[in-house]
Amino acid sequence: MIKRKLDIIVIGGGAAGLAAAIAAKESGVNSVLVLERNPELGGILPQCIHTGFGLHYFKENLTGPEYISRFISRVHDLEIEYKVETMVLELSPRREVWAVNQHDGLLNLKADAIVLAMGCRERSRGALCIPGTRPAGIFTAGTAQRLMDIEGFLPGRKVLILGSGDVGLIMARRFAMEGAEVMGVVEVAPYPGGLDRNLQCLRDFGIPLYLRHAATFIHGSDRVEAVTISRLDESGKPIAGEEKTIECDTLILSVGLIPENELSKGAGIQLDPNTGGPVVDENMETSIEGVFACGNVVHVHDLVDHVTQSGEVAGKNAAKKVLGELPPLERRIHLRPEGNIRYVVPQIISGERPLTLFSRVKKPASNAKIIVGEKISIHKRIVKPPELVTIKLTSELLKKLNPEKKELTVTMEE
Amino acid sequence: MDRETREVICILCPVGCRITVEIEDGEISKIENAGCKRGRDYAEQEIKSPVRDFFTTVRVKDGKIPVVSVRSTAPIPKRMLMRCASELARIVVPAPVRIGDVIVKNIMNLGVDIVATKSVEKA
Ligand SMILES: Cc1cc2nc3c(=O)[nH]c(=O)nc-3n(C[C@H](O)[C@H](O)[C@H](O)COP(=O)(O)OP(=O)(O)OC[C@H]3O[C@@H](n4cnc5c(N)ncnc54)[C@H](O)[C@@H]3O)c2cc1C
Ligand code: SF4
Repeated sequence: MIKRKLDIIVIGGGAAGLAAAIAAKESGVNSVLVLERNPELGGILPQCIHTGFGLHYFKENLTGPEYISRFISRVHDLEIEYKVETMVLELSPRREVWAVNQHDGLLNLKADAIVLAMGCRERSRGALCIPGTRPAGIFTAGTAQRLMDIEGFLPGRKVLILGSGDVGLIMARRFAMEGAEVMGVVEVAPYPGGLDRNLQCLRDFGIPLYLRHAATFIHGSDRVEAVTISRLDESGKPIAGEEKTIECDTLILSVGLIPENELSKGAGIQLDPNTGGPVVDENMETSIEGVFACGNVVHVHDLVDHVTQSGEVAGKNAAKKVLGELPPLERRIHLRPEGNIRYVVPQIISGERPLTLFSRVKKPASNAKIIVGEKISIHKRIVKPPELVTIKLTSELLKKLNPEKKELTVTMEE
Repeated sequence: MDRETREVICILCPVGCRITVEIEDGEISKIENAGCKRGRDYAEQEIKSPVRDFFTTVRVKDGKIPVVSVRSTAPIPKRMLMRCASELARIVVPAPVRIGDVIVKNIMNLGVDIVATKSVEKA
């Protein structure tokens, strides 16, 4: 067993983890180690071969692999140490990390600061509740993407997609471009789950979108042969007689992402039931001192630019912690989402420094006012569930906060 | 007279205006419901000559992974997407491939190149 002591350990080598490691190293901390279970750095991005990355951060329209390659080069330039094919098994509340790989065997590492950047994973439960057979040909969208764009293998020729989030829409286009027949995208909600710009993926290829529909039966013995979908009523129950059976050899599940927090739970880090990720303060520090978190492990982002920014904040503050330059927050004001606001991150702020809150809404709304506490009101022309809502708290606005308050609600008025 | 109304969803900003475009005898006669000038221009382009970013994968010989991701250096006409895809399906490039390497110069005479978006080492 190898035992080592480091300044900072970053768990996960995706967009968030690499931004954190780079920011930490640039802040003057020397021993930074990134642990990644995949054979390469980059997280999900090497398999996201479409454009649409970096529009904010680089003001360029990059593909996923191009976006992340800039950070991987920086990791090499700064000589940041990393280990790939290394799986972190456990994190202790005393910032001890247990990991394993083929080369070193078991690793027992300790650090003054830890950055959690494990990303998110795909829900696969959706399929388990669908009656019918369990034939081959059912994949999650991420697995299908990896098979196509890294392993060079087309998982099916006649495809039905469950879920109209960005991942589902992008995979619909990807299959169509590869010459597969995309039979449709099925969505339980009355509106699509993805960004408007990704709806173009369906229109360009004439792919039908079945809103307020659910898959209700899977047919096929060895391989998927067809899937029955049903129209849903207002309460979300299938309407008898409104079924349609769609012939297909492949069913793609794109039914949601959840932050990957097995390690966080094991360490006893406080999680937010609204995000599925750790509760963080404005420094991106979790409930365990010296443990920071960033990217999709905190909440599922739609834009990588925001993931990178959160990584930079976490990395910078982890470095300050190590250097003894991170004083405790002057005050800890808890933000509580209410009404149409599903969640707010960070969950804890000091009210002393300007910052941007990230929030997600439950339902679309237009001409809405986001109300923080009693006095701060921010106008939003339009808000939609697939799009993160940013709430900029300037120093001017923060002056309106009541310094005595320990808790503030964040809500919306239409 | 031949008249047709088409809807263009503007993707330039989060508002996502549903812009209606009226076409008379193949010419745009009216653009409505655009929230701003940029959106109007976008709708006009979408009707006259829509373009798209193009990206796919190309097979690699003797690489660490069997395919490399590629993109066009500029958007291409929408109607050429599938033709470019079939053209690239016929190609195999030898490893190593470097990010930015030109895989096909001036594909189908569109005036854009196809470049690699990642590096693939030799196996
Ligand atoms: C299909 C798809 C399309 C998208 N399209 C866009 C787009 O067009 N534009 C845009 O801006 N954004 C897009 N995004 C969003 C954006 O790419 C992601 O939000 C971002 O890349 C997430 O980065 P991350 O570092 O938080 O997570 P990840 O990239 O998932 O990285 C987490 C890493 O942690 C590793 N890890 C996890 N657990 C362990 C462990 N126990 N031990 C070791 N390593 C571990 C994982 O292997 C992984 O490499 C898209 C996302 C997807 C999935
Ligand atoms: S038309 Fe203007 S306001 Fe409307 S979506 Fe497009 S860019 Fe936004």
